[in-house]
Amino acid sequence: MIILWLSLGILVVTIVHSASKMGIDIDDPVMDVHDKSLVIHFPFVIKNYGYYKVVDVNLTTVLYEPNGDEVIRGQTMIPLVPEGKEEKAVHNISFHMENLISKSEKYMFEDLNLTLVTFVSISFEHMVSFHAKYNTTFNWGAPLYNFSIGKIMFRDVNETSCELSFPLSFENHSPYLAVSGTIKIEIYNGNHEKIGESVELIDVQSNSVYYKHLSILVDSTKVTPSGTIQLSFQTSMFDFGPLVFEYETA
Amino acid sequence: MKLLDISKKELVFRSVKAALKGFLVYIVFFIFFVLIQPFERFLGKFNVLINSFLVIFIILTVLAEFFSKTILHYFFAFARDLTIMVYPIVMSEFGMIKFSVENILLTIDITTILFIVILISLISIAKDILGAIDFLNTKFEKELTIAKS
Repeated sequence: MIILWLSLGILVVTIVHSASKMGIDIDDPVMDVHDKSLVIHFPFVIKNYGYYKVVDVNLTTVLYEPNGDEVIRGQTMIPLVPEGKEEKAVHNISFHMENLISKSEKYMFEDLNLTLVTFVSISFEHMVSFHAKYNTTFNWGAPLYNFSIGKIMFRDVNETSCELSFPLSFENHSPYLAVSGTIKIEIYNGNHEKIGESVELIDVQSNSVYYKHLSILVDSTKVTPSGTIQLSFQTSMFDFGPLVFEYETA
Repeated sequence: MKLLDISKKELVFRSVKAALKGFLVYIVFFIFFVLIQPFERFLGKFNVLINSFLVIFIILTVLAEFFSKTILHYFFAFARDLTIMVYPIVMSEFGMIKFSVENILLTIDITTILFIVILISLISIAKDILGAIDFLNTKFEKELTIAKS
């Protein structure tokens, strides 16, 4: 009996010592943009200088909306870290902007306080498992925050055409995304006929403001007292639109 | 009914032996606590529970030793082994120890260790019960032999 209890005691003590000799080093995150996705890479190293194999290392990050809905999930599994060894891995969190927009357009216009939940679990030879859960706030900055167009003006250019102009402004609150690409502006009259079109280049870096008077030549013979302006974004990170605004000539 | 029909010399010997065993158990736990010291700050509320477990364990060990060669030895040994089995289950909330450190919720899953503890405790309990049966049987046989003669 004493041998059994002593063996168990030694097992517990050596597991505790192994846990104390373990370390996790996390490097600075690296951001990468490709295929309209923003991927944040977190390189980390698991150092197992204990006496036992570390198995089933699981790192999961889940981003939740304030109402509890899951936004994105990233998971990294390391099946085995042998004793006395180090294992390098990269944890990726991928923001696919068009998926986010398809969930809700508020990601484009509203700054949100999302909850980032990080789960880490580690098992020593399937004998003892450690699970850690850490909650933190993740501030989502809207790339088109405070998006607005100002007063719409018409100015005759010649007998067949006139110029429609309006100020367009927004703030790129996203710390990660640059709004770089084009805005397609289409003008439709009351009969849903396209009467003007233009493409504007934009390059709005993170945490900067965009403000510009846009002018589009339209066919004055087809202008009706009211109609619509449709704005569509095509950027390296997302295609978004059309955003529809009504105009009145009077 | 006399529980202990022993001489003063035997009483002193048993007391010293029981005290020594209790001290040895304390030393073993002391070494165990020294070895797990790196995690002591995480124990929190479990420190009190572990200390009370230690006190109960030492008292039952001392009593079992003091009453050796009596039926009470098996009674206290049974109680001690039952404590070893049940106390960790209750203390660890069925093998899932939960506590928080600086906004991090930590869970330690010790169900496998607990399973081994239960197995060893069950063997100990079985040993105690069989020992008690053997003790009573031997005692009865002795009384029967005396009665016959």
